[in-house]
Amino acid sequence: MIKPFVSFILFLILMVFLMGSHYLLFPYEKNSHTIQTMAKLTNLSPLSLSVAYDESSFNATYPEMPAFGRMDFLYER
Amino acid sequence: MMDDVMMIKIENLYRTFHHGGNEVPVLKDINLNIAKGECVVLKGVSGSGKTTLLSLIAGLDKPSSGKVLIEDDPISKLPDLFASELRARKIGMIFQHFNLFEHLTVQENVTIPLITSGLKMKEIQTKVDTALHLANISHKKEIQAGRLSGGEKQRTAIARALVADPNIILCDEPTANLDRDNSLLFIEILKELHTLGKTIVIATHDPLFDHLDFRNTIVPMVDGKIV
Amino acid sequence: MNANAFWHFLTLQLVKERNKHFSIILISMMIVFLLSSVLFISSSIRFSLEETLKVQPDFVVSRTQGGTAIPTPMEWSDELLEIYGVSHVTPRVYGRYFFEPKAKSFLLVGVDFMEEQSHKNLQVLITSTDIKAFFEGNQMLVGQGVKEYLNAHFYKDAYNFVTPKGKFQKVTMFKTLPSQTNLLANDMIVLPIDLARKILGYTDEEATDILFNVPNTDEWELMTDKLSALHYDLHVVNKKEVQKSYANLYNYKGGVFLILFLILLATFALILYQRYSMVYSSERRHIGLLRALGWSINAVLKFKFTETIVVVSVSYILGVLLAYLYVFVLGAPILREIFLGGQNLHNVVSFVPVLDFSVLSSIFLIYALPFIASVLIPVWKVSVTDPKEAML
Repeated sequence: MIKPFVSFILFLILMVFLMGSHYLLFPYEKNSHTIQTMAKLTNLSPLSLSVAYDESSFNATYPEMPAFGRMDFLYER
Repeated sequence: MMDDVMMIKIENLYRTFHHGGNEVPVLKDINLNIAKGECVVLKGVSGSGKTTLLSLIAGLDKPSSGKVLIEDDPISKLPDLFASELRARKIGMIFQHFNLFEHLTVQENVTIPLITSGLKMKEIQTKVDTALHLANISHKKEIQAGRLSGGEKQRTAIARALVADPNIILCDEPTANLDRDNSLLFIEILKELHTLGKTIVIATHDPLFDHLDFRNTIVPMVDGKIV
Repeated sequence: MNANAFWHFLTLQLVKERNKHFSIILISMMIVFLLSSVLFISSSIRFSLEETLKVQPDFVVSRTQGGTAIPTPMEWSDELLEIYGVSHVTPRVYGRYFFEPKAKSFLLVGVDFMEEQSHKNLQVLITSTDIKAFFEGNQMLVGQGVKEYLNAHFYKDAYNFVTPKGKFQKVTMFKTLPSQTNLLANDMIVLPIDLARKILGYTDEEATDILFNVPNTDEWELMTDKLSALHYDLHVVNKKEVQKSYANLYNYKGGVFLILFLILLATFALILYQRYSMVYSSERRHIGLLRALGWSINAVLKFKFTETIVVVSVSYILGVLLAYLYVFVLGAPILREIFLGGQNLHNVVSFVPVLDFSVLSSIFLIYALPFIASVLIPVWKVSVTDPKEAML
């Protein structure tokens, strides 16, 4: 194999290795523990979605139907 | 001295092309035997069928009927694997327009026929160096083919044709894109190959080939037939 | 064919024709990058949500009137405790508080800090501070988005809430919640439960909803019937339903993601077709020449297949690497707004690296197979043609 190709492949392997290391060494336990503690404290689990909360878009006739332009259907109502 | 062994045998060869419903016969009942070490010049004007005949001998095209035998192997009837093997080991082709890979260097172009040979890179390199030397183009081996002059491209094509040490060299209008000096240089190389015992077939209408100073046979062709 | 010579020639061609391959690698890489980024973000959010769901109570009951949620009576807690199999009944007080009419809003959550477990959880979240100080006076914990917003509006240390009775209630900002909780708590304000009731207008006998656990999952079906029989205006949601809705939302096969897949696939196919039709004539000549120089059809196909595999693999790996870097190291700027929204408080979330290998394999197959086919089919067609005709 010729040198430029070999160098490129070695570079790719290095990048994959770095990615793999980041993935394996990520502190999942700490992260999970913190977010679970927050959920246990508040007893709330829905996402903090940055949506404008607008009561007028709620349709009383069809309460199960999600309103347009919103992503807060995850909130437990 | 020529051997009695027939290197190339052509028997009752026909080649017809079909253009929009019309049949155009290009070769009609060609019969030709070429002995080992012989140099044959197929002479004729453009459209006489000499290039088509050369393509059929090289296995680049298939005849409409008849046979082409290379060392008694019917090249046109062999399965692709064997036909390709035959083409790679026994035949070296020099094309009219050189047909080089312009983005590769001279050395890289000459390597291509040996990639499928099963040889190791070191062995391939040795053969490539020998072929480049024979074609007198070693000094340009690192130059990209697209940057070469016409004569240098022709010599690269010669080196590529010789690299597998084939017994048969086929040349299709080899001097069509060369000036007189380069044409004469080419003829000198052909003479050397003839001395090495190669069987050479040249398709040309160049009058320079009418008076070669080594033993050769001129086969005139007119309208798809040998005259 | 000697493998060494074959690889030498292959890598030589790849490097020498890098300009030809560069554009297709770039396009493929961008498509894989976009697809992978979207899937990484959704996998990460889903993972975090599932982690939080693990610690959530099994059931939530609330009161509805005319389809709208209204305050739930605290006396329902006693009724629930009487049901066999029910444990850990907890009222929940929370609600939206608007900074001003038609402006940004915060999620106010009331927590009963007298409970030992809440106390322990609080200590984990605000580790380096004296917890006792939090219970002195009216204090609140705020999410990072809330902190930034209030600071921007000159509320540095405290904020005056307006209660439904029209009175002001000053609450001091004690501490900001850790950044790892931003996915849940960016727009959240955590207060003592009584203070939350005051600001949200609940009486002592009211809660937003009530939570409880039913340890035996076999009883869940029956539980819903028992609860419905308690009160006509009682609304029940169990954890399985929430998990299902999350799974449906973030299932890459369905909904938005399927559409995204199809659009990307169509775009890719078009670009590929256009790209390869441009190089077709020179490719055809090269293949014809290789055949003329003694390469068999198999040798040509093997060469082109290996070349394509290398191009496909390189662009796929680069696309995934770039997506990983973009999402899990840089936090997916711009793209995260699609998932987290951008209308209320700006949220900066660190995504937890989650690699779903089945999804990554699917992306590879969806991308690689049409790519290889679009290259190899024309190559095969030319290879089986007589070399003389191919070289024309």
